[in-house]
Amino acid sequence: MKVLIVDDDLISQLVLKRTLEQSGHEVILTRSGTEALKAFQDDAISVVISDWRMPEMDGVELCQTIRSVRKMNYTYFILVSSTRLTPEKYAHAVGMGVDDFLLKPLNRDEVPVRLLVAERIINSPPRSSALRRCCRSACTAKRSATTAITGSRSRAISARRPARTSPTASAPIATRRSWSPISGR
Amino acid sequence: MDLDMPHLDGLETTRRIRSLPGHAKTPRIIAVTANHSDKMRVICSAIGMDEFLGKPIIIEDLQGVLEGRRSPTAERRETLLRLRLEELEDIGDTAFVGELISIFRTETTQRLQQVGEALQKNDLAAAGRLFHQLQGSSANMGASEMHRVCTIGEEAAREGDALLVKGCQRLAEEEIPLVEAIYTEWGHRELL
Repeated sequence: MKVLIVDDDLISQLVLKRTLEQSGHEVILTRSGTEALKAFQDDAISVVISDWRMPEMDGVELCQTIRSVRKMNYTYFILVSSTRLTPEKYAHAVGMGVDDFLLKPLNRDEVPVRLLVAERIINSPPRSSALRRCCRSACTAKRSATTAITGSRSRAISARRPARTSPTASAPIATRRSWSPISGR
Repeated sequence: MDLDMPHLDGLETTRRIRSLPGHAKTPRIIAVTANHSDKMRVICSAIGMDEFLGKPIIIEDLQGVLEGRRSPTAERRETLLRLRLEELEDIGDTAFVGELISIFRTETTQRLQQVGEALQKNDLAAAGRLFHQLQGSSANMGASEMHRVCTIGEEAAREGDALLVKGCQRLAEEEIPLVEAIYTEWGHRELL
């Protein structure tokens, strides 16, 4: 997988980079949230591992910004901190779209295992069934809409119904999944 | 000296003793407290206490402190540091660890100096950021005590406690030679 590392500390960057490369991942190093966003837009990145406290833009803000960018594939976001997060901060981070947490010093055995989880979630079957569901409702909506234009008024109402019962049905998958990686599992 | 006393507590008493002429180092002061958190230990040390004992007092620990024996925690810290170096070597190789040690040496000295400069300018936010970076690198390099001191230093900077920030800077500086000794020993271990 292609992994984006965001950390303003050189040692943390190097240790994490080596650990990931050892388990066969491709790594991009960045030192700040701004640098990370630039790299994120230019490249097909599957996982972001970001430090929490950084000057200018912190890890949670970065995650929030990344979540607002529409991408075809889900980006798994791991937040790294040097101290344990308080329950409030933890809840806030999850609310902003963080998927997983790591604590420094990063453990050589733990990091690759967490990435296996990331890989599983990114390629998880619910995603393809969500895709099928989405395609199906899009097709139904399209069919009904075509009928509605040529058909009667009552048919036109039924054409709007799927959109009412499922307001997000026509939204891109990435946008919907980005809100709740857990519910998709 | 007990920490929690009415009117004049142990910390304040120590601060006053240490500010007396000729008493910067003597007498040795041993803190005794029921609150044996890491934070309290660092605060005591930052203010000028030499040793730290938790309540209830374990006679053996007290004897150890009085005889100037190295505490078991200090030994455990060194073991953890050595284990971390081995782990880093597994991640990379010997050269990789050498590179990390050399970066850590330069950066730590530099950052602690910058903390001093920030303190002079009364810029606690900058001091806090530096402590945060040190916190990350020291954790990765297995310098657990430095990591703890920097964590408390960062917190103190956030809370606006300049005195404790200064104390943490001093403690982190004192920690450098201890960590350095293990790094040097590790560097020479192949030759032994």
